[in-house]
Amino acid sequence: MTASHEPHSAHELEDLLRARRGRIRLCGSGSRQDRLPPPGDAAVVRLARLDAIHRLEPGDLTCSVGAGLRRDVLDEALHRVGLELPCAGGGTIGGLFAHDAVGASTAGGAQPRSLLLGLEGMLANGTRFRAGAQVVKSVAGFDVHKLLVGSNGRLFVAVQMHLRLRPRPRAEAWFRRDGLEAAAACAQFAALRALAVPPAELHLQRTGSQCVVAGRFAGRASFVAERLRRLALPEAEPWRTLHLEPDGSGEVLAGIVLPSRVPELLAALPALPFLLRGGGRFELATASPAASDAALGALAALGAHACVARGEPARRGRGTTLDPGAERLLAGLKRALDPDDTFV
Amino acid sequence: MTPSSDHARGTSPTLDVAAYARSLDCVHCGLCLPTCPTWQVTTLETESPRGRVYLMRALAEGRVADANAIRPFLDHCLDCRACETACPSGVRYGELLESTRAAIERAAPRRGLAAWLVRTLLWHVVARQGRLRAAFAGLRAAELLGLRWLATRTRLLPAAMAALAPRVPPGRERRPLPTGLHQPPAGVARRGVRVALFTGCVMEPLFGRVHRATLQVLLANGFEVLVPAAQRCCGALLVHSGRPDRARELARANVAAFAEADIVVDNAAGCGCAMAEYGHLLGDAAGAAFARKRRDICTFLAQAGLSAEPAECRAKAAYDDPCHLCHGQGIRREPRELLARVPGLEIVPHARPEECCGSAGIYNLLQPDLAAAIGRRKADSLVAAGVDLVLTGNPGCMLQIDSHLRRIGHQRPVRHPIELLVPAR
Amino acid sequence: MQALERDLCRLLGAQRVVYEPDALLAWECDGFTVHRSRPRAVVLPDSTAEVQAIVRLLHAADVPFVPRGAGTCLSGGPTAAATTVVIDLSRMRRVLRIAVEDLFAVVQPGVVNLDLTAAVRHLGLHYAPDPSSQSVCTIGGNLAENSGGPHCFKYGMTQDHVLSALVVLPDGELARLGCEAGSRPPHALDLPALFCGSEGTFAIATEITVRLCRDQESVRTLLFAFASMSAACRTVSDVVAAGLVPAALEILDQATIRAVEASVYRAGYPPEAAAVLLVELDGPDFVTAEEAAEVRACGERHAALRIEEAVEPQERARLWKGRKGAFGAMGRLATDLYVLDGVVPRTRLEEALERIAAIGRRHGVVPNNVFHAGDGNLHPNISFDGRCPDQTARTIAAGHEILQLCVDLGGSITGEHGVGSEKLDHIGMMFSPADLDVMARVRAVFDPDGRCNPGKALPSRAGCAEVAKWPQMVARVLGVEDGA
Repeated sequence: MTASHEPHSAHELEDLLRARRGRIRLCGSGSRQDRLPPPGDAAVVRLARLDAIHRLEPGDLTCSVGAGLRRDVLDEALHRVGLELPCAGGGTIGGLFAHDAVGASTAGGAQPRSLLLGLEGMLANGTRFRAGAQVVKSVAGFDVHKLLVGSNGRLFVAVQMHLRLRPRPRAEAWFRRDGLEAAAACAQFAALRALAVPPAELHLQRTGSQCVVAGRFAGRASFVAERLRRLALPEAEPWRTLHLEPDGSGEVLAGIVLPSRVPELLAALPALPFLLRGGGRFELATASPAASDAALGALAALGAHACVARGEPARRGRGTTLDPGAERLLAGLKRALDPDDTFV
Repeated sequence: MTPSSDHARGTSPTLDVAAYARSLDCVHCGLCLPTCPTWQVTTLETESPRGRVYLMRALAEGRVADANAIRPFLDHCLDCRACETACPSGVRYGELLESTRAAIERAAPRRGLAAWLVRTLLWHVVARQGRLRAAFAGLRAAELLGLRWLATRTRLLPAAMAALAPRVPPGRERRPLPTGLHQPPAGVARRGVRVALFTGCVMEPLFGRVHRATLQVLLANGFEVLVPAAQRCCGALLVHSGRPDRARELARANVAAFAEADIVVDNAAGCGCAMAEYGHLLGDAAGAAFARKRRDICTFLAQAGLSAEPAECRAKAAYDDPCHLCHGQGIRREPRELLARVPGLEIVPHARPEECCGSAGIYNLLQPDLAAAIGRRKADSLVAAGVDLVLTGNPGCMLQIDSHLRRIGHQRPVRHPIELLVPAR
Repeated sequence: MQALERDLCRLLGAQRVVYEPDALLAWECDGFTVHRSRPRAVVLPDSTAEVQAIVRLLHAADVPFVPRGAGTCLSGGPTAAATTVVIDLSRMRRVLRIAVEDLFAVVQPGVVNLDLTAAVRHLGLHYAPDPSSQSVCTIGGNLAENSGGPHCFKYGMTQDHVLSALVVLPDGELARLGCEAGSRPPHALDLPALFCGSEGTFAIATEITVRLCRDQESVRTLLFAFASMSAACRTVSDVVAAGLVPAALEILDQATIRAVEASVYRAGYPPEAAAVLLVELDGPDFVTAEEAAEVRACGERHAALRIEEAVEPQERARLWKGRKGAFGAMGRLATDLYVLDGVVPRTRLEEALERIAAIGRRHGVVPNNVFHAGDGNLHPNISFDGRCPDQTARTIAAGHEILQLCVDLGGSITGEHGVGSEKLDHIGMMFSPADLDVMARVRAVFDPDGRCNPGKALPSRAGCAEVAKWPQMVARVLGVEDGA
């Protein structure tokens, strides 16, 4: 029977960690748990109650929030003062960074790591630590906070996070082109990426043999209108699809690829449902674990990296071969920050 | 505050207080590094202006155990002054270097055959026009007899040096400019201005055509030209070799030779730069007055305005700034303005117009390896620009650029800008 | 010559090994000249394989080393102790690959920041991070320090532009951090982000993959001169409040303006102005024109004495020239310069500047300010005569208080220059021993023996971090400690 805890404060969390023996699965709102191996006998620690907005400084373009704060709650607070957190993803703020499931929204756009200025964290033994700063610029100390990104809660707990914000664009407009052949879609995607001011968000989705390219221009009203007019792009409803769902015994691979290799990728893996974001992160749905393994081989040959994001619990996280030197460092970091392998 | 005397050692030369104070202006920001040709080819801190200033300062502070250990780094400096152009703190690097070189030379005079040879040549041959002419006549004869080829074949002369050694033009090219007063030809509107022409040392035997072109352009533009017979070498090379005493002797002779002239023009950037500092060198009013009345030929003509249209020259050309013109005298615009008046001439930019070519007086003879690496950068930059003519205003640079273009198999004519200003007949 | 030097000479040839003590003086310090130390030797490798071979030799001999670029660091980062070998990477300056469609370049660490932009200019691309020393500082050094620059406000720091790096670990092994497609494979941590700003204490990067940015159709630079510093700060606040994101927002105070105007970097800034504000806008031409009108209105509201606007590259370069040369131009004011790098929340700028002036008055020194106003990154510059122990001590004391003020206001002791050796005594203002211990553990993953740039970035005994010891610090500044 899995124990579940939901601390109401950093103090409660600290007491919990100090008292606890055995493994722990960190959890925000739970929306991404299907991407992790099952917790097994680990106790689940939910951070959803650490949801305060500790500080919001519109003039400084920064805020500090509890890791359990829901993205939609933060957005509402930010929009009231004309600001935004310029990256996609839902769930809790802590989960958004810890999973980093969608990456940058556009060519050269902000990656989540750029938006995380600092944090107050806690090691598995309850030791509190800080890294980074509350201000937009600081190079004091090593950037341990950046290790939160993509850590899936396996290194340390983020308790409070300091975020960089941006003024909310004065205007925005969505566009969408449907029914494109793969080649035409790739060309459209590349052309939009190549703009000196690319769309703030850009997506390419293949379903069957048909592709869709969609995106959002943001900025001054005059700019947004000019862009749609000049590029002759039809206005459309906002694009909401950020993830693919696995089909039956199928799996979803999450990966990253150089945009110039996308046409080859689509040709090498025909007919597989594919979703690509402007920053180069993609998802690919396969029909079976065997098909996933074949796809991983093909992706590695294209210089892409990917791993199983959803599917059989035991296979989650299996992916392309990483550089052996990097593997050594990744294992070393886990040992250094969570020596008892508490966080699973 | 004087340099610390507690640390002074027997071999440690002391700088004068003013020179030491100048070394303190450097805040070690490093903005000079990329402008320094020796740093570009070695990337050694000791071969950069920042490193050299730091070493000179350490020397003055008595922190250098053996001055001879840092001497090569100072010798490697081309004295091109590109670092002064880049320095936000206004460090007067050139003055600091000269003071330090002189101080080291005083404390530990150079011994050895090469040093003796340089001193002897500079003082007894280069600085004496009659002997210099005779020497070049001898070189020409040797060349005609095939001795250069023989010397290279028998390895008496290293191949690199033989290739660099100037090709001596025939005797009619080397004949000196007639001294005395020259009047503009009939039919040319006179300006009523008399200028005296400085002829220097090696320009005459190597590029007599430049002097003749200078005379022709000045006359065609309505100026009276005086070529004083008593003038001598400007002394720059002696200053750079740590012998300001002998340079002063030459400077005094020139001050006297040009006493009656109101305007002195020169066509060699290096000589002009040295003469601009006669006030500092001689430390008297006569030296300063001389410095005030001398002009670079291009600056003089650009200010006076050309009245005679230059002959047409259909060519794609690069203008390369001699260091002693751009960094030493701040002259960049004037030669380009004049060249823009040449019909048919297209001036195209190239990557490193203000980087030293490695000639730097007799540098290419003293530091052949560095000079070759630096010359190569210049030649590559010019070839990449795709030009069929190179223009620069200093005899050493003309020689260096010419020989390095030939070495990489891209021979191009190298001319002094004044040669293109000669009007059509 | 000892065995190690002999081995290094055998490996690289005598031309690329410096061990003569007098010559080594030239490597005593970087742009922070207060800390000086002569290294044991300097080596100049040409390739990743040579760096590996050098590092293996040093590993076998248990000798520490420091990677060095152009030596323009302002915090003593590449300064090497007498037992330490400097690995100077400035010969490794080739641009290895330019990927136009994928917008990245692979460079060796010694490539000069501005040379990378020059190499891609014909493709309509540039490398965005632009520290003021960009004409000389190297990409490797930028990576080590996580360098900033005026254009951070919109484009971010070096960290936001590094995708991947091939590094030589202190035992000589290689590791590829991140991937070209976007810094982090989905099943790995963001190692490039962690590495960036590690101040040469983790490993030596020998190939660096950086993002390239597309040139914008139009760039507009506006110069505002104000009669008071507060008018300049308030203009910046108005610009930010209007939701504009200029590429850069820079302020120079009167003393800085005057120093610059007396130097070769003279830019025509009005010397009577109390503050000059530079605002740069980029984007489509009609957009920058509209934004410029809004920015001008902000400046006019705060009674700007003069407003200049430039679009042509040459004119823009002139307006920027003074800002770029400001640090060096300070050398005109006195023999030494202490450049601070504190950060405050942008909304506290005015208050911070007033309190910094008061700290200066109390210590009898004059902090001059040139700063990245959009980021709240202050550079109080204190000119002093390092030969005068009293002046030096007062300068250091004022600097200490200024950094404490920045931390008290919720900021940082360094925005872009790094901790190096300079701020070891200040880092305790921001981080507790527990914080520093976590950082030390992370460092040990890369460099378990502590041989890679030891004694920098973190206090040496991070677990039990020393509190800043005042007299000890002054002693170090005066060079009493190392017996000089």
